[in-house]
Amino acid sequence: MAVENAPLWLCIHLPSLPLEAFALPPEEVVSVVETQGSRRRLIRVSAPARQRGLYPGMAVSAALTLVPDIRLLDRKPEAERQALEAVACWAYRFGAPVTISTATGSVWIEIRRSLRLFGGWRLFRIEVEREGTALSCTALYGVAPTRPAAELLARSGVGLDRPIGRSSQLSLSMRDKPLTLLPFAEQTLDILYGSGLRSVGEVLSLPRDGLARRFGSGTARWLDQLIGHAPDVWKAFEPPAQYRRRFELAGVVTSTEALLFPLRAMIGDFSQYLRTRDVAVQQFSLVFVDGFRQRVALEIGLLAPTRDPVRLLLVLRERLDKLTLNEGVQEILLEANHFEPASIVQDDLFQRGRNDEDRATLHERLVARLGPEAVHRLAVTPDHRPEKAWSGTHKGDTTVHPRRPLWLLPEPQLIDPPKLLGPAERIECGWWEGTQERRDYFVAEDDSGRRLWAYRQPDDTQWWLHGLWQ
Amino acid sequence: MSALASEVASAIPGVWRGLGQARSDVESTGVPDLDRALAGGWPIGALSQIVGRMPGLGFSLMMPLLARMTQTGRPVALVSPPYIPYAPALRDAGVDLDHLLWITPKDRVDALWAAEQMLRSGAFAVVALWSPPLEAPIERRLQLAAETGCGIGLVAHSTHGTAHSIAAVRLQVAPAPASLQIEVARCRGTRAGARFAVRDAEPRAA
Repeated sequence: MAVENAPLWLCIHLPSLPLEAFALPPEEVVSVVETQGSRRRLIRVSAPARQRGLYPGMAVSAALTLVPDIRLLDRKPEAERQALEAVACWAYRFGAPVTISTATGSVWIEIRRSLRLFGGWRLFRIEVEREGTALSCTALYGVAPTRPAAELLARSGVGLDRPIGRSSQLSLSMRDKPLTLLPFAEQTLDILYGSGLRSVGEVLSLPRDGLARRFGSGTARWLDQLIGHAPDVWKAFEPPAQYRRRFELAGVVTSTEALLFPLRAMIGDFSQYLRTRDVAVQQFSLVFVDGFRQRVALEIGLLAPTRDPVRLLLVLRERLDKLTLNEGVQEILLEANHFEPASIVQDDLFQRGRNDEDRATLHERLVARLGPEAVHRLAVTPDHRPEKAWSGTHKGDTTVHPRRPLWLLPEPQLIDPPKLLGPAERIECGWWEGTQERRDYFVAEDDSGRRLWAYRQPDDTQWWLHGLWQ
Repeated sequence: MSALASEVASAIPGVWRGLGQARSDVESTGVPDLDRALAGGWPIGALSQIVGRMPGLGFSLMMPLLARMTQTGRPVALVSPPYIPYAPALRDAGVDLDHLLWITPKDRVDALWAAEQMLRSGAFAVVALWSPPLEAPIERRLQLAAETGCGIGLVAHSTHGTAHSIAAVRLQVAPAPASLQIEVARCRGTRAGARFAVRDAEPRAA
C-alpha cells in the first residue's frame, strides 16, 4: 500500500450482533425480532432457522406459520453494546484510536501507524486473520481511508482482499457497489431504487442539495464523508478502568452445565479486556441472578494472576460443578476491580508445557472441585503426640523421633493384645493444653505378621492400634 | 529392531518393546528384588496395581519411589488413602514433604476425578490412588491419563479386582513377620510369577 499519512481505518462489522449478543448455542432455532411501527419483523435468524426457510425481513406472522416452534427474541441493545465494546477492547491490539457505532454494529481502528509497526500490510493482515479466529462474533472486515467506506467495504464482503489505501481511489472503488449497501433508512433506499438507481456511484453523482432536501442533510453529508469530501466526526472508545459486565440470558437457565455457553463468551470478552489494558486478574466475582432478583455470588480467587481464558474457564468450571441453583438464572454479572500488572504473566496457550503454571492451575482446579479441606500438604510439627505431629507448617522441624509408622489411624482402634516386638516408648505431653496424654507405644505384630504401632495407657489393660508400618 | 525403530519406540512413552528388551520407560522401585521382577521398575505412563488383603498394605513399597521423586522436585500425590500418611515417618523415609500432596475427596467419584486430572496433567510424577477395584471403563480412563501425562499410576486395592485388568503390573502383597510377601501376578514385558519377601526397614526401638 502506498505511503500516505491520512488516517486509514480497519472496520470490523458484526452483521449478526443482534443475534450473537444473546450467546445462544448454535443449534437453536431462533430469531431476533424488531418492531417497526405496527409491523414485527425478523431482523436476524440463526443458521438452523434459516435452513427451515426463515430469512431477515420476514414478518413474524409469516415466520410463525412456517416454523411454529421458532423462538423469538426481542432485540437487546444493551447486550449488543457490551458485545461491541468487547470487540473494541480486542481491536486495540491492532491500533488506536478505536471507535464504535452501536447503530450499525461496527468497530473501527485507525491502523496507518500500526502498519509500519507490524511490518507492512501483508504481515498485518496475517495477524488480523490469525487473531480474528478468537472472536466470538461473526466479523466482516474492510479497510479504507474513511470510516463509512471501510464499513461499506466490510458489509460488501470483500474482507481484507481489497483494501483501499488512498483517498483518491475512493470514488472509483465505491462506484460499482450496489445501492443496498448504503446504510440508509429503508424508505430512502426504496425511493432511490424506484428512481432507477442501482449503484453507489449513481447516488454519489446526484446533486447533494437535492438529496438533502429530499432525505435530510444527514444522508447528503454521509455520502461526502464516504469519499472523504466532508470531515468525519467520531469519539474514541476508551476501555473502562473497572470491569463490570452484565449478561442477560435469553431464557431461564437451571443447569450449571447450560451456563457454560454464555460464560465462555463472557470469559472470552473478559480476557480480551485484560489484554487490551495489558493487565491480569487474580480475583473476580460472578453473580447469578434469578427471576426473583436473588443473587448467588461466586468469588473466584486464583493462585497467580492470569488472563488466559482457558485457565479462567477451567477454574470456573470446577466451581460451577459445585454450585447449586435453586431458581433458574436470568442474569450473570462479572466484576473485577483489582488488576495485576501483566509483566508477570506468561501469555498463553502456546507456551504451555509441564511447568509451574500448569501445576498451579491444576492445584486450583483440585481445590475448586474438592474443597480446600480435601487438598493437604503434609508437614511435621514438633508436638510429640502422634496425632498432632503431622500437620501445620513447621517445615524446619528436625525433632528426632524413634521410627514412626507410615500410616496413622485417624482414630485409634481397640484391638486384642498384640505380640510385642520391643520395649515401650512413653509419649507424654500436651498437659499445658489441659489435655494430658500419657501412652506407652509398642512396635507389635498381629497374627498375620502385619506390623502394628499400638499403645495402652499405663493404668489400663486395653490395647489400641494407632499406626501401621507397611 | 533397527536403530531408527528403537529410537522411535523409545521416544514414544508407553510403547511396549517385547519381552526381554532393556526398558527405559520404567522408574526403579528402589527395591532390587522388585526391580528385577518388574524388568526395571514401575512402568511410566501406565497403571500398576498393588493388591493386598488389608487396607493400606503395600504403602511401604512405594516409599523409595516417592522419596526419590520428591527429592528431585517432582511432585507426587496420594489420593484417598485409607489412613493418614504419617508425616514424620514419610520424612524419615526420605520423602520431601514439600512435593507431596495428600488428597481426601469426599467420595469415590471425586477421588477418581482427582486421580485422572493429576495423571493427565503430567505435573505429578506419581499418583497413588486407594480405591475399591476399578471398573474396566474407569481403569481405561486412568490408563489413558497416565499415558497422556507420562506419569506413574499406582492403584492400591484391598480386595481382588476383576481378572481383566489392563494394568501393566499387578502385585499381590501379604504381611509376613518383619517383611512383606510379594507375588508378581502380572507384569507387562516380562514373565509373571516371581515371589519374594521384602524385609521391613528395621524399626528402631525406643
